Amino acid sequence: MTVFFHYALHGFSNIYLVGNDVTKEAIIIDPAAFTLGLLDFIESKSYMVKAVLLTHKHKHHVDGLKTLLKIYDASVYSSNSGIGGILCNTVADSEKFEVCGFSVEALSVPGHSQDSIVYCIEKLLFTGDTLYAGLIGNTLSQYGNKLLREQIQKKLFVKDDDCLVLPGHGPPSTIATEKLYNSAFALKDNRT
Amino acid sequence: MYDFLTCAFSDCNLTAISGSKYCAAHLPEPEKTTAYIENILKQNNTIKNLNARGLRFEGIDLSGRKFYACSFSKASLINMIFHTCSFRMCFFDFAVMDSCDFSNTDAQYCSFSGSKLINVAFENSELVHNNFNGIKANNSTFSKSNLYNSRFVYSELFQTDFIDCNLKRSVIVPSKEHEVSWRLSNTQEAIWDIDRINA
Repeated sequence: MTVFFHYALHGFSNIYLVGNDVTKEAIIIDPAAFTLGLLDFIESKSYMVKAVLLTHKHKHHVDGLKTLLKIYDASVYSSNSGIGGILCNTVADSEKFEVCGFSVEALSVPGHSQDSIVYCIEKLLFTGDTLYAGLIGNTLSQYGNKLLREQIQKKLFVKDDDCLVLPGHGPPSTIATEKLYNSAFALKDNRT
Repeated sequence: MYDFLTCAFSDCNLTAISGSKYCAAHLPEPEKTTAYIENILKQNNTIKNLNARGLRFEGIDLSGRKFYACSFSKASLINMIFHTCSFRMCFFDFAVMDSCDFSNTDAQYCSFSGSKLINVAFENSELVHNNFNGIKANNSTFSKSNLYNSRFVYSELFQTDFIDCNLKRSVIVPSKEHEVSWRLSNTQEAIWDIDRINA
């Protein structure tokens, strides 16, 4: 497995490519923008994009989708049935499916948005706008904030400590460090 | 990415060290595995997908190496020289670094979260998009570095310099700070209050 990270200036978002080194098929996670630089990069590595995973439908995570689908015949996965007129394969909480030779688990983590999905591929957690390094996604209400924190603890913090957190914005992290140093969780006493 | 093979020791969920079936805690011959990884580090200019989690390295000059998707999480790095190295998507979380030289490095999208830094130099470096949350830095320097979009949430900084750094879009919310110099850095462009973040 090869994982590449691309920083999109559009919304300062992270775009990820997960490539299968054997088949050269690739998954794109959250195409915030589809720029010539990203296209050059994919082509230089000889990948064929076969699937797109969307963590949620906010524009800073999906605006490159239409352009991407003009170039690659890829299946789109989301918790929505369609985004901007594009039909999606709908995924539900705890659903497991196979794409590009990888087993993917979808985890519904609402709070930042109702449709927020975290994708788990082996020990990689693509958290979108739910969990960032040291922070959680913004919410519109105190209820949303409480819900998001509960869902993160229930569904993400139960993963192995060495699972990598690859968020939609900002630097990467791990589950162990988020349990200790995420500002949304008052675990100061547990810090070592 | 480094392989996520699980340690062969029963009930252990940690990933196995590259070239071994076991994690660092369950290695039957840790010296042999460490020597094997040291050889990889010394003999290659480009190091990809290496998992050296929890191992101990001391006194190796790795200047100019390029690291991609490697893990040095929970590793002990003592008197290591990483001068002019580049790092992409590498993990140093909960590592212990004593007297290490990371000067003139180019590290992007890496995590140093929870690591202990004692007398570590990151001077003159491109440290863009990195996670330094929860670090405990003593007598270290980040001076003349570009820390764009990097984070220092709940970090503990003692006698550590951030002189003439670019702090644009960086999140700096240290829980402890003593004798830290931010002189000549664009502190007004950093985010010092978590409530100001609109992620």
